[in-house]
Amino acid sequence: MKNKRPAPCRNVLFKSDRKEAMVLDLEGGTYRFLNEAGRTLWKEMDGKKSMAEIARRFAEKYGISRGRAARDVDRYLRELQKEKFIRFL
Amino acid sequence: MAMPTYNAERFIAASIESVLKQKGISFELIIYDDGSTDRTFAIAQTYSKDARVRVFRARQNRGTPRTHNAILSHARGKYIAPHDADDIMLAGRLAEGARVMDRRPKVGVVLGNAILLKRDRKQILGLASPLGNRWARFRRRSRLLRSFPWSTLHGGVMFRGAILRAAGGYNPNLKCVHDADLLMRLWSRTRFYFVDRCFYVYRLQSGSLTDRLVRWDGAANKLTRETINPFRNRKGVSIQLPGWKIRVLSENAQVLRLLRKNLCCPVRPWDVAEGFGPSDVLLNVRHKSPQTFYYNSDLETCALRRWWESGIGYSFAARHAETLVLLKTGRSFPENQLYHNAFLFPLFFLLLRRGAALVHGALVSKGKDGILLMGPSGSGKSTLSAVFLRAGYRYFSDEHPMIQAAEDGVVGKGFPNKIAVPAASLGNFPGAGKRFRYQKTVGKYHAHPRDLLGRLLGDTCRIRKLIFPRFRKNEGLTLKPLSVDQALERLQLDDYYRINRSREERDRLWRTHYALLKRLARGARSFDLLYGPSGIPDIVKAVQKA
Repeated sequence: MKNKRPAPCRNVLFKSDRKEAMVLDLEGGTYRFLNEAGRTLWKEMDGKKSMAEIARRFAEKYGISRGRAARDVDRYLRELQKEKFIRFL
Repeated sequence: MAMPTYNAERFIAASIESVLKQKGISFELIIYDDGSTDRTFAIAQTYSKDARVRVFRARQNRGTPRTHNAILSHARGKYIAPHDADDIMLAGRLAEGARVMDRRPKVGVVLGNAILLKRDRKQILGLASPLGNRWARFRRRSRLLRSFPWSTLHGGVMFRGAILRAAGGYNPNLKCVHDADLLMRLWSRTRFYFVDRCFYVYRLQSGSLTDRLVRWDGAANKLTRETINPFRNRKGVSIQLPGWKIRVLSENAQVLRLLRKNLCCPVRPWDVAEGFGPSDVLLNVRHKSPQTFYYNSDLETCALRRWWESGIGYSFAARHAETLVLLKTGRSFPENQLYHNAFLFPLFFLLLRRGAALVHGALVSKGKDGILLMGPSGSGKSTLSAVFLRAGYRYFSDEHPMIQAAEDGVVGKGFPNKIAVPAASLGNFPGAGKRFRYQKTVGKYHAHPRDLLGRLLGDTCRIRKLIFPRFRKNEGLTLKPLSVDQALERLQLDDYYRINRSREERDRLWRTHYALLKRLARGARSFDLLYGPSGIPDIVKAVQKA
């Protein structure tokens, strides 16, 4: 799982302003607001970086342990995958 | 589900599918083709195999309101939810609307938010809410609405069928804004409930009213071209203030006459063709019949119904550069009401959007140091400013000076009006009695400060002192320093601040205004001035010493 590379699904649009962001799945008709951490993660998901790499960068940015970052990132990305906003390559 | 269609072959399939994906509720989708000349009807028919879908067709194009009414006659459901053929319905929209209706039998209309997409559907432009503030992020509490919604997002509305029918459905004679018209009629019949969820995705079509609105947002120049051109034949004036040029276009000659009469800064005829600078602001005063007003209410969403009922409405479509002032057709307005409600009040909001504000006070200065006298009518602002002028101070305004944040505090800017004093105060202007003219409409004597005292008008000054005068017949003179908090408290009694604060959904403007007043209270020394007739000659010295 750690080596999987998350990427936004097709038909998913992303919009960000200073404080928050939202993603919209046009096909599924669902949307979700992302907080600052969520927005940071979304921007990292380019289909090239692995989950481990994303978690490492996330830990550095927010000054948390790598273990905790890995758990949080894993849980969050699974949620997004379940809601069909992202897929794993 | 009511879906009127007309030449929507590109989008209708996605739109229908988004409806058919709705879960947790039993519904029927009525598609009524309004005489399309493309494949819209054929595409719609392919979905009629689904038992939930019924497709009808009109022989000729009759317009959206009539099509909606035709759908209404076929509808069997308890609730009616309109949905345009090029919109995408978001998950849970029907179930959520019905849930609110079921739980709240007195609610007849449920409204939700919309997500706005660029016409190519590849970019989210922003969010739209019935509560306004549409292009910014919002989180609002779901609740019963106490005032008419600012925006009527038709695709995010659900009606109770019985109420819709009792109201007579849509007005078939309207070519546009039939949805706003319907909601305005329903407002007096039933309760509106706002749900803080996005109900649908609205795709902006090129050239549509909303599309123009979005492009206007932050594009003042484009706005200017689009809004001014239709008014080439209108009469306008340009008011030159320090750092600001206020343009006023008006269909009502009385407004322009009033400006010349009350103001003593340069008020020149404005040829619209000469253009509109980036720092200019525009007040556009127009006559509107109640029906055409819906257009603005629908498009621009901020026009305030309660003001409109008093005969004057506002619309802040352009938000940064323009305010539309709407005067009800066939009504006559007292001068005072027209000057304040059709000029000062909308101008105040226009300026506030750009970080400046008007205050109900008098501003005078010596050199670059200004003294701002703040108080309600009758506290003696005009009388005191006359006293300061006689002592060599410059005059900025004794009614509505402008304040603006500066690096080291707050600066005051001249917005000079003619000095207006009651008969009892004429004695403060010895030998100048002939220069005053009695204005019957306001019951005061008016004079141009330059004619009166030969002083130049002030331009810009740093506000160093804030005086809150109170007149008492039997008092002498007491000048008491005020703390920053006390001064801020007094400043919040300002008429303009109170107007602003009382308005709903204006948080950002309110914050701007509050920050400006706070800066003013911190940057200037404040005093409470209690004075009587015997203390007037010593006021200037006392204030200078303080």
